Amino acid sequence: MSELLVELLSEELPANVQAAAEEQFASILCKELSDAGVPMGELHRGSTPRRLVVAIEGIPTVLPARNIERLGPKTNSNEKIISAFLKATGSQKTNLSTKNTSKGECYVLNKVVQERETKQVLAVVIDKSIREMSWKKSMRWGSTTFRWARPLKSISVVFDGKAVEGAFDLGNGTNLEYTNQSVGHRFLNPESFCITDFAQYKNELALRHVVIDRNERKSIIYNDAQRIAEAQGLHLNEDNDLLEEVAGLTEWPIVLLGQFEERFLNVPPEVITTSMKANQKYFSLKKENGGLSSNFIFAAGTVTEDGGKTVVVGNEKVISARLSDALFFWSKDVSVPLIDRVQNLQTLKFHNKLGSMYDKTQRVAALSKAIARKLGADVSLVQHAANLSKADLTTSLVYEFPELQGIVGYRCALQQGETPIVAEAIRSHYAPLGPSDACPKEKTAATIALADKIDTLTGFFSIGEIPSSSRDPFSLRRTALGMVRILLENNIDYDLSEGIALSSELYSAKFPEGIDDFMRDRIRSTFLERGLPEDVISSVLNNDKTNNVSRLFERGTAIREFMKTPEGAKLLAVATRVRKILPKDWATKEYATSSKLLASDYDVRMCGMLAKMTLQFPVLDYGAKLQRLSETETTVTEFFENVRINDDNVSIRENRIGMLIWLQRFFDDVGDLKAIKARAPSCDPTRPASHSSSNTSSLDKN
Amino acid sequence: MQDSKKLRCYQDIILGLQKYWGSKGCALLQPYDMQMGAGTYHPATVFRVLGGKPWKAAYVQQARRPTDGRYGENPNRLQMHHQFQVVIKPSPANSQELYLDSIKEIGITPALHDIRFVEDDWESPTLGASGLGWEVWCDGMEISQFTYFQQMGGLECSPVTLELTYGLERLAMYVLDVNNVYDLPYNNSGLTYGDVYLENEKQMSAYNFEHSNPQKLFLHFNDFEETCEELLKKRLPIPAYEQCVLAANTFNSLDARGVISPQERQAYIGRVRNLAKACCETLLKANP
Repeated sequence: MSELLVELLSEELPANVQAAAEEQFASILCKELSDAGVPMGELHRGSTPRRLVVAIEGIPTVLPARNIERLGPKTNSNEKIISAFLKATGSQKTNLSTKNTSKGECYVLNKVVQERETKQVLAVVIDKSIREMSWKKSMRWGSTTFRWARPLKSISVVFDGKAVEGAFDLGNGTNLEYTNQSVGHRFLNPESFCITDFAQYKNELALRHVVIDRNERKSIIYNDAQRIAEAQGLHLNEDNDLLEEVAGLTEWPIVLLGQFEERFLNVPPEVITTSMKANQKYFSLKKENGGLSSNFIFAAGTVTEDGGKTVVVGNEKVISARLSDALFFWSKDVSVPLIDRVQNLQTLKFHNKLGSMYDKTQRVAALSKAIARKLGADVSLVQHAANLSKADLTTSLVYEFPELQGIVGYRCALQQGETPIVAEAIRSHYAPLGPSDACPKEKTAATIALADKIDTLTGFFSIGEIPSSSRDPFSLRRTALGMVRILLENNIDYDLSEGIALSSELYSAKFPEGIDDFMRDRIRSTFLERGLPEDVISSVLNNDKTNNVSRLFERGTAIREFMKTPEGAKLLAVATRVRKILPKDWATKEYATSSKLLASDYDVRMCGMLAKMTLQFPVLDYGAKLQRLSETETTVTEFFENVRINDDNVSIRENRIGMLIWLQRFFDDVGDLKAIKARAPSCDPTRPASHSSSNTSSLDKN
Repeated sequence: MQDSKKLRCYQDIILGLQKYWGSKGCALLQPYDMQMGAGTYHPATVFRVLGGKPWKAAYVQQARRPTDGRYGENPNRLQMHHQFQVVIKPSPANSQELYLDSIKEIGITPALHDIRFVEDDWESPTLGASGLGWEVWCDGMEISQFTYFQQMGGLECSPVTLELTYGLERLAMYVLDVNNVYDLPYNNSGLTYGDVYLENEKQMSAYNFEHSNPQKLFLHFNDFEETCEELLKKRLPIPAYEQCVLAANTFNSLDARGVISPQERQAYIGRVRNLAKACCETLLKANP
């Protein structure tokens, strides 16, 4: 068995596409090899800014003859289909045999592929694999027409220790001949070397200042950064995205420590770390006491003659220039009170059709006020914080770093003597920004966060900007999920539909179409994620058109828990029996009931039970309601087994139906129980809910 | 810094780059005698990246960015800085190596510095131009833009042109280890960059932010646009393009006065782009 190695050497690929490209190339190559009938063993792969490499062991040098079976149309297909198949495969009807398949009898074309040397198929497979690669952004270069993420410089193909002949056509008469050579680090080892296999390739590269394995580069950077930080008595602020990116910016990471002047620590720490990360790809460090350190860590890409001294000095200069800009902006920004910035929001668009950020602020403040009243939050505090919530959008720092919205406002607010509650509300009213982001917990912040999101969602829906499965440019899904989470995680008793209705009024718009379904989908997925089974969610949502998320969830949880007990099955059974017997028109038609029409003891008992429940129900929690409903089983069973619902006397019949409707309303109060699927049989050995023959027969019983 | 011994002043850097790119077959052109936002606007780039004929040129161009003016008070920001621009069509196979050799000429060697190619896809909405490439980092500082032109004036570039843009002031400050642009030695006879440009920065900042006349500028913009369109009808894309450049610069001046709202902004950029596109199309029709 032999090994195949393919290396694609290019000019520097963007850091954020390398890992995916490595994976894509490996999977395409494997698929193409497998389609060509090449058996494969262990796979190795790697990538750096300049290369993608895939090596596959366990490939035989000779591919034995094999039979390829191609399934054709069914034998009873019409002639057109059959002749199309013949044409597509270049075969005659006499070549076809038949085979019984699950679809019926089909034509089959058997083709024998002769034994051949593996290397004969490799050139074609590799050519195809390279062309199959897809990039988010690709380009042409020179006079050629082939597109790649950056210019492709060389293709090395080695099989069984030897070069594979072939060439890649870049278009316009330019070929890249396959080679068995590669090169080392761009500056430190530009000389070429021969490749024989992956192990040797990896070693040769390591000697030539290239670590081909991404994860290995990541751990080098991480471990060295930890070590350097510790030596300084500092803590590394870990950042996986940054680590991933930095590992894609160098083939040979050299981790170095730099420092900026202490005076820059007057700039808010979030501004410093953002500038360092976004512009310079530096890791920030924390001091023992948790404060930001003036030291930073970065990974250079080469070994220099002076041990990195010049490199460190240069980087320190760059960050100094950036931070002196930031310091200038910060002192300018903080000198203007947030309240004075609110008017300027008029010059900032929220959306072309939805007015300015000033308009949005006004709406959010009004909505916050209304919600605050509902929640018993401090209305004037909420209104004040809401009014300031977007003011930092007019600062230079947010202009430079949009991701610092909220944070700059928070820092300004604290500096300008606003209360910590107001400052925190300004900072966290954008949250949660994704599933891993924390929800605001404090009432003021949570209220504004909710109002801001309701305003955004309602606004975009009102102008028809409704997300599709592939397009959600305003992140409305995230917005809606955020709303659901804020309510749920703070156990806020509030119906979102009420907020949306109020928000629509503030926009002078109708309650937007489609918004309810959209919200319900988000509620459903959130509940699912939080452990409510699908059927339980349906049972809750089917019967309750409000979007009071906390109450819905509470009810779902009660149902889920109850269904785990033996009483759960009892409840479903009795609910099913009652439902099946109700006439179709029960929900709309009036069925009069009267104590005078209680024709038997069973009627009396039934009526007594219902009357008692009517008194009890309002004060019971969902769990107790479910328990109480399951306890109706004895009375209901007795009732069904001993009276004939369809009594010849219409009044008595209607009275019985009326009582069952009464009972049905209690069931409906906890949920749509018919949506619930019977749990595992061990829970309910006696009577599965779907088994309904005994129920229907009771109609005819005397 | 040991490696930059032979370079002592700002003009040494320009001379070094000119000498190097001249030796690589580039025509050493002069700045275009009009105000423009970047070296890319020079017809030696805009027009020459179109069509199939090979082209190699290098030149310095003043880049006017009215909003970046700081009255000469900021050590790094200027309303007019200088770019050294290189365009080579088709882009050579050894483009990166040629570039790396060029910075060695001005004292930046990989033996001492950490040089990296960091993704930066370039786009000019006003020119309808775009390309893929990198910003080149030297010890964490962006010292050049490196672009493979894919489109100009909305037209596909084929063959592809290599465009290199060096920010001269920033590069000089780094190589000569000077922290304030106005302290840069301009030549070897004691003249500083401040001696040459400080007063210019002060007065031009005052003009850009305080004394330009927005009403007149709006009228000028319309005039330039109209003239450009008339010239295009007469199949004179070169003078038409000059009107387009004037319109683009007028837009920048208006932007610096903060009189263009965000929605209008897009509309103005679109109007300039339409002119640029029409100029490119007309030129290409005449000289395919």
